Amino acid sequence: MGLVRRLKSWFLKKETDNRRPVEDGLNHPTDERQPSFSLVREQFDDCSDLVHRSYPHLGVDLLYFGHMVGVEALDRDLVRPLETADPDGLAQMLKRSQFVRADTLTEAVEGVLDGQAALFHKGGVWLVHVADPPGRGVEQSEVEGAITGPHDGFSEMASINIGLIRRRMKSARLKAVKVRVGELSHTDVYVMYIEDIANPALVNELLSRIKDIETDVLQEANALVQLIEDHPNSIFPQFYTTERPDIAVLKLSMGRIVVIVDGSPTVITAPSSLMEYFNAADDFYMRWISATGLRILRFIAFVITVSFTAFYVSVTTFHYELIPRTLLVNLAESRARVPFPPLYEALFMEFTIEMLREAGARLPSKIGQTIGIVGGIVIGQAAVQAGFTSNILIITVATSAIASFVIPSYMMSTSLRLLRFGLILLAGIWGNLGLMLGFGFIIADLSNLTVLKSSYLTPIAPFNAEDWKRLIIRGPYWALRERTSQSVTKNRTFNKMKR
Amino acid sequence: MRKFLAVPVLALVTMAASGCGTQADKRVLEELGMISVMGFDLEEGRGEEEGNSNRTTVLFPVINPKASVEEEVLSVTSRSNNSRQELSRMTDRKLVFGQLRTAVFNARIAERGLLDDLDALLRDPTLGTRVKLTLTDVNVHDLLTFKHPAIPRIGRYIDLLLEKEAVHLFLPRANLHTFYRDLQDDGIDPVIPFINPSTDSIKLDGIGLFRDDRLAGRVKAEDMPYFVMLYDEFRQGVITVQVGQTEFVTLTALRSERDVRIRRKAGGALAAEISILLNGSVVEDFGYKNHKTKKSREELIRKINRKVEEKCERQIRLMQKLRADCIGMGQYARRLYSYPEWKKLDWRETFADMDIRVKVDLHVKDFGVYP
Amino acid sequence: MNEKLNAFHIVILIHMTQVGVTIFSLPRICATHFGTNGWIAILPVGLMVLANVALIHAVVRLGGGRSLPDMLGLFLPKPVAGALQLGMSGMYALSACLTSKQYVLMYELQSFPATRPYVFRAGIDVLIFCLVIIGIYNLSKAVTVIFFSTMVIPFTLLSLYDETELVRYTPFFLKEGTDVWVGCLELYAAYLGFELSLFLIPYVGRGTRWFRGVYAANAVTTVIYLILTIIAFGFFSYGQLRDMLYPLLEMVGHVQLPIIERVDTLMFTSFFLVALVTATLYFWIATELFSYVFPKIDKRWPAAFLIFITYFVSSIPEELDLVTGWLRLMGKIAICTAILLPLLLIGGMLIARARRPKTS
Repeated sequence: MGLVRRLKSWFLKKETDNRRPVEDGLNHPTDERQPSFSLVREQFDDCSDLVHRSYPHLGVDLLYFGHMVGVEALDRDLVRPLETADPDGLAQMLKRSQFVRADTLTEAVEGVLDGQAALFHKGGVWLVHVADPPGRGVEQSEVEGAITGPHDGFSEMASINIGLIRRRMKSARLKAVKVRVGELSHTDVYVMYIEDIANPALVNELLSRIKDIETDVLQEANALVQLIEDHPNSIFPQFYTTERPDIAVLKLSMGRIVVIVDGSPTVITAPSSLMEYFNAADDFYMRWISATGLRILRFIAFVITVSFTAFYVSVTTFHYELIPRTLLVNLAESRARVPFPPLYEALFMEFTIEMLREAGARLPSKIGQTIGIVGGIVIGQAAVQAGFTSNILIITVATSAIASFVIPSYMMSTSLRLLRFGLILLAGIWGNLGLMLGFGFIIADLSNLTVLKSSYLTPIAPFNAEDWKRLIIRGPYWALRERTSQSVTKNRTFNKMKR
Repeated sequence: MRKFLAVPVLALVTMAASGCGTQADKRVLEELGMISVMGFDLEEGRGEEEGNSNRTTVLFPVINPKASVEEEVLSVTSRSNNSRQELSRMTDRKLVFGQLRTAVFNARIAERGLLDDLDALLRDPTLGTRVKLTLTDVNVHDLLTFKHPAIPRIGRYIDLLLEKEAVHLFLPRANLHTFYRDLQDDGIDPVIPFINPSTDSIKLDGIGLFRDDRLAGRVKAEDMPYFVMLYDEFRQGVITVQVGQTEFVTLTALRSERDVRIRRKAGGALAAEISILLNGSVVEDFGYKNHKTKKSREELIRKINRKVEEKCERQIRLMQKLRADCIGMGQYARRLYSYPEWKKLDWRETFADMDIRVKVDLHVKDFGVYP
Repeated sequence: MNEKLNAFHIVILIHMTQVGVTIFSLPRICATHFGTNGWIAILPVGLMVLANVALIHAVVRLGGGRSLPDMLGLFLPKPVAGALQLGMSGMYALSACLTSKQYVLMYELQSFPATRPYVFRAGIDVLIFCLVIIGIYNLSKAVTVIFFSTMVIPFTLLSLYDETELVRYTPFFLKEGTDVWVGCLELYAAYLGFELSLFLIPYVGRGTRWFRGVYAANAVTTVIYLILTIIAFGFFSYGQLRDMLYPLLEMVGHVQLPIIERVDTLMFTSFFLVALVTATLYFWIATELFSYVFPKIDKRWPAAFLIFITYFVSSIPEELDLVTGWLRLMGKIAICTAILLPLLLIGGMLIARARRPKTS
């Protein structure tokens, strides 16, 4: 009987899994007991970084994490007043707005964990907002630079990040919904959107997916992405990530949704389309003709980085007739010195470059530069002279590598690196037809990708002429009048100028 | 379930590693002998029972930085044209034809009829039909082994020579495609240029006129521009015309346009007029006479026109004598007949009886910077 | 299915299905069967196809939004309908497989003469499988991408204008053609692909406005065929066209690009994606038909099954001539299906309507 059932489950159509209705709020059970000093203290047994101060003459105990509170705020709001207070003044003080009463044990514990100070007095617990957890300030993003435009980048503190966005978009319609994710980490995740521009169905879908996450620790926005995306097994990134607030604000105004994860300087936007990964930060700050030229350069770079080496391999292995006559003898002679067939030669070179790249990323910056020069120039030159590779292949591989850096999104260029290897392999065994097969597989994978149920390949497919002006070429501002179609918004126009 | 996947995946990986069935077709670049020129000679048969046999010569560049020669020439004699097996036994390279650019035929083979020899070239799908054709009077083997210090690579030299001329249209473009096209078209006959070695170099030596696929005659080297004027349009030609006893005028940057008008005369014969519009600059006037006045210039132009017309008409008469309509009069004459009439017509004879006149109209853009 | 197809998707989808490997032989077919200036024959055949498309339009309107199995179910008993659909499924699957095989054989002519086609066909079939199972909406996205990447190719042929001559067209029209009806059938087979519209019914938006896309696709295909054949007739002489097997391929080879030699091999390789679309969509039709008969089975199994079986069946003809012959046969069957099926459906639905007691 079990066999029949297993066969059935293989052959018959699968039921589409319905999402369970999600309860609002936290995913973990709350402890509803009344908090008291001993209970809370018990929770933090063996936490020697917990500071306990007591003021026996007032009957007040303070509990806080010394490194999580702001020393000045603590001083000003708690220590000094407590030192000079008397029992009546204390009661008055406790009525002040900074002192919030905690009703459940969970609330009190979480408050202390958040960096607030817990004040215990006569069986009641008050939480004081003195939190100032350690973190970086606002600095320029190292990974995502731009020549023109603002240079401030997101930092690891969610509060700073929200501040950076709010100060650019001063509107009450900019909403920020907070969700806590992670049983151990209790990470704050903020979902920001503009109320009557973003599509509410998309927002709800995103929120429900985030709330569905049941994991212990969530640290990074990119980790969040992999937990909520439609197709985690695809090679292409599906949520656009950025470290620049100006881009986040631009996406918000286009009707997309921004997700900020506390502890991560990367911010996610949803839904995204393939073309967005070729849009650089300063595309919109340049003149549109120059920006369009640069975009076209990036698309060409995309094609080159994925297929150039593979094309070299297939031409030198199977399709000698494609080589122009003037290059023919040169190419043949430079290959004549190499002992390996072109496929292995290319794989070897590509592998070396990947190793160089990884090594450069892991090394401290002082050594990294030397390795770059040594690896790039000396080893390359020596390899050619030793007859290990041909110099035309070095040019090919170097061009592919440079082209991959032209693509602004780091996630996308990492994915493309892997694709390149697949194409080289296919080209090496099946020639140009293998290359075309590779393209076919890429197209098949791209067509299947959806982000929050909308197509990844907009605006090419499904075709939307209006979006081409924004995503494929960079149209002039007077022509960009509507928001992107992917955000499925009813509030389409954003540029109401007459000109 | 997942364990069973390992088997097909492993199979795929081993297949991939072994080249997946395409091993036989691997043509790694440096192992190839990429033939760039191929030539065919006729060898007289020794005995009566043998027919004539063909001698096939191939030329390909040598891919060895340490070799002292740039190109290798191999030659083989056989009765059919498929000497590939023999040739491939003579070299350590894999001989391939994908980069073949020129095929050279000895004039005697052309006289015998070229279609059989072209069959191999036409049938092979790896060649492409842009392979250039050329004829030669000498042994092809001698042509391809021509040694001259300024010509390190004969294959490239021949290729560039034909290509350059064809681009400037000093020479009708002759490749597999044009030959077969004109062969099958009942209104025109194909042409192929001649190249011959001389003491200093290999030069273009006239144009071969074909009747169907047989070589019928040729246009001499000095008459080539006049033929091309009749055949198609120049774009950048040079001619020297003798306008007087001692005066020679050279025109350069010559552009020509031709216009053909045919009509039927009473009695069924045809008359045609080819008007050629020439546009050029005078760059040399040997035996100089003063041509400052407008009248004198017009006189000069008239003389040039007449000379060019004479030469052109001489070419036409040659073709008529040979019964080879290489300039395509038939394509224009087709318009005058209905389909059954055209099919019944013996075009070659009609062509031979045609009255064709040439009218040249020269416009001189400038006379140079010297009066 | 989460999204509906609209007219624009349909235009591209059907147009790409119609354009297949036969386009390379088109000028020869016109020259051999219709004679001098045979390119003209494309127009009347195009009109015949238009009539066929109109037939299908009538079917769609009569059916009122019903999909094919529902329409058949109206007047045919289940086993008969089932057998018919399974037969059609097999036919389409075999056609698809043979189309891809013909492409592989033609490709191997140029670049891989010693390889046996089963090698490439295995890879291509895996790709087709991956494409068929992602669903028609995603499939139309893929086809759109392919359309945009390959639509540049026909424009390069316009650069050959220099080498065409007016006189080569000869002033005679339609002389020396043989077997005109055979030619008509072959030309008609080049237009096949519009019957895909019958199977798109469950996936389109409401109403029948989407059908305009089918007419538009047909028009685009006709125009492209016409332009290409006209250029071919000016580029080649008439006698030459009768002899060459793939004139359009030769013609493409004369396009000169500065960096690459032998552009025709590269163009033909890019054409792979177009041929792939044709084969994939026919396989998709076959899978759909199969799932009409067995709706509960997950679609991936019939897809894999059909591809697998037809791989072996079409291994039987291994030479280009044989494959072309088989394809011609399948083409005739497909033409009959394309004409008779709508007629059957119309007739059947009218009968069913007459039989139904009138509800007040």
